[in-house]
Amino acid sequence: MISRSKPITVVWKECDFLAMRQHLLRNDNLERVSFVFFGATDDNPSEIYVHKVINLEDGEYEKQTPTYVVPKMTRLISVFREYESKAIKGLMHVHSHPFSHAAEFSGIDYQSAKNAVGSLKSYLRAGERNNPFLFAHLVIGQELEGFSGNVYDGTNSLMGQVESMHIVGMREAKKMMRNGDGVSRWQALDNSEILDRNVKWLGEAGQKKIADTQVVICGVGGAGSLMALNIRGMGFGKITLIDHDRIEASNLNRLPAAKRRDVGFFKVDVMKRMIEDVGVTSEVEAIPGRIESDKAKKAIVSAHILVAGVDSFRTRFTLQMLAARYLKPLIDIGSGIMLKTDTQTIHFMGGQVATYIPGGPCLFCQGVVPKSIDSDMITEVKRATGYVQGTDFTPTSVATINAIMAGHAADTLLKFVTGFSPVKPYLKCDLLNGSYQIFNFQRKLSCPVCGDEGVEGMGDEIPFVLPESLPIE
Amino acid sequence: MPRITSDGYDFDIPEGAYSASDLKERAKAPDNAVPVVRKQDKDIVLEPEEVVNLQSNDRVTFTTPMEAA
Repeated sequence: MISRSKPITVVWKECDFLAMRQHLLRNDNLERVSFVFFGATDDNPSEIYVHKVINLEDGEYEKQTPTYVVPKMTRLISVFREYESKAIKGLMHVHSHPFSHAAEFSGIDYQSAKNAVGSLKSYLRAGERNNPFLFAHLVIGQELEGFSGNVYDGTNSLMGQVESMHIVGMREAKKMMRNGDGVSRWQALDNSEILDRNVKWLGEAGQKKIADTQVVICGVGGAGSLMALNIRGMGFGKITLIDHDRIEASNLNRLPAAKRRDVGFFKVDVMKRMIEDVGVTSEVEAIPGRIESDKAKKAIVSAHILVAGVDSFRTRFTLQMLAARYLKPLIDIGSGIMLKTDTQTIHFMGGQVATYIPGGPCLFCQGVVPKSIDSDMITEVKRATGYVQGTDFTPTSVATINAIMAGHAADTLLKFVTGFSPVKPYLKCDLLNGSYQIFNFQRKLSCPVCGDEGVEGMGDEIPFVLPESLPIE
Repeated sequence: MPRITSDGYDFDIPEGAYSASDLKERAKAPDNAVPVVRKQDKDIVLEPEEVVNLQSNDRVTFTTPMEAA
């Protein structure tokens, strides 16, 4: 890691800057390169001035992926030739990190910068270059403030770091500070102002309870992602997101904050970005793995409350067992559409929010986890068909239902955390007929999870085995 | 009389003992529906192998547990 040094401002014409960003951050998520010729004052400059921008077009790369880009050598040589023909001090290499909103240099970037000037000199024709010259290396991400840059002198010594961009437009000039060490300007906003409306509703005491609470959201698909959306501005102490899935194009109709360029990336990383963009959650953790992984289990065990938005009864079963063993309240979201077998008309559309509070009925006693738990194979079929149940699977999706059910789940979470109103343990929402139903389920004394001989509060004391009365297949 | 209130159905049935499949058949409920018996404002999930004795004022309805999509 390069240590901090002199802050340097890059001054751009707005037209150059916008055209370069548009070039570097296209929706296809691929890295791209631009070169910039820049001027500077003669000694120890704190500003450098963009003279010309050359954006390398798509046919001008040897390799191009979302995380790696190599221009063709012939194109590089032509850029160097043009550079050395000009009486200008500096050459800047700019590339994009389209997967990141606050770009930092990668390990590969640092390696290539190590002797960039020496390498560059070897391509420049001796005697045709004014010495000393400057070399700058800049990487930009999706956010306007998401950039990192270093400026080197002719001996490859670090002269300074790009700390700000000054954009001179036709109407106004803007200065953008680099989001240093991942801290952007919005994080300097006063949180109390952002949380003001929460406090008016929940009071200072309620807000403090939220700030002291750690939530784990298991599954950030259609329902869990909307749960994350709903609570991103509440000011929780910590939100952990667990999901092993990556974003697919067919998810974009219902995943908030997911963009075309996010396809292929972990859902948890995109949701983490969404939460961090508001900046009132003290800590956000993304775990791109399965619920059963050690890291996920550790997060679950250290949380105060769990939220489940999972698309497999098997995972729901696992979560319920963990919740019971470690006495974690669990809010479970379900949503979907059922077709009538014979007529293929919609029989039911809606969902349920079921809450397990240790000491009360578990999800088994509420009928949420069926006795015969389906296989992962069936889950894959359901994903492919859009979560429509019936004898014949029919493609569609449930984006609007998710929003309603995740809203109820967030409401339940806030009621529980702040205590401002009793939690309804089971809410059934029938969106076809426009009705809600609240159930008052009873704990069954014989239940192997929450019954008198169940696993509540057993912690690590018992091995994690499936009770015989709960067949897994 | 006990009453079944389900999606699109609302009718009385005679008092007596019923299994989960009996109730689902009467209500034309789908296979994955879970019968819920309400006795004195308390709801109890009826397990597949379970039989319930329904009395006057008891209510039966169904939930269909959904997963998140």
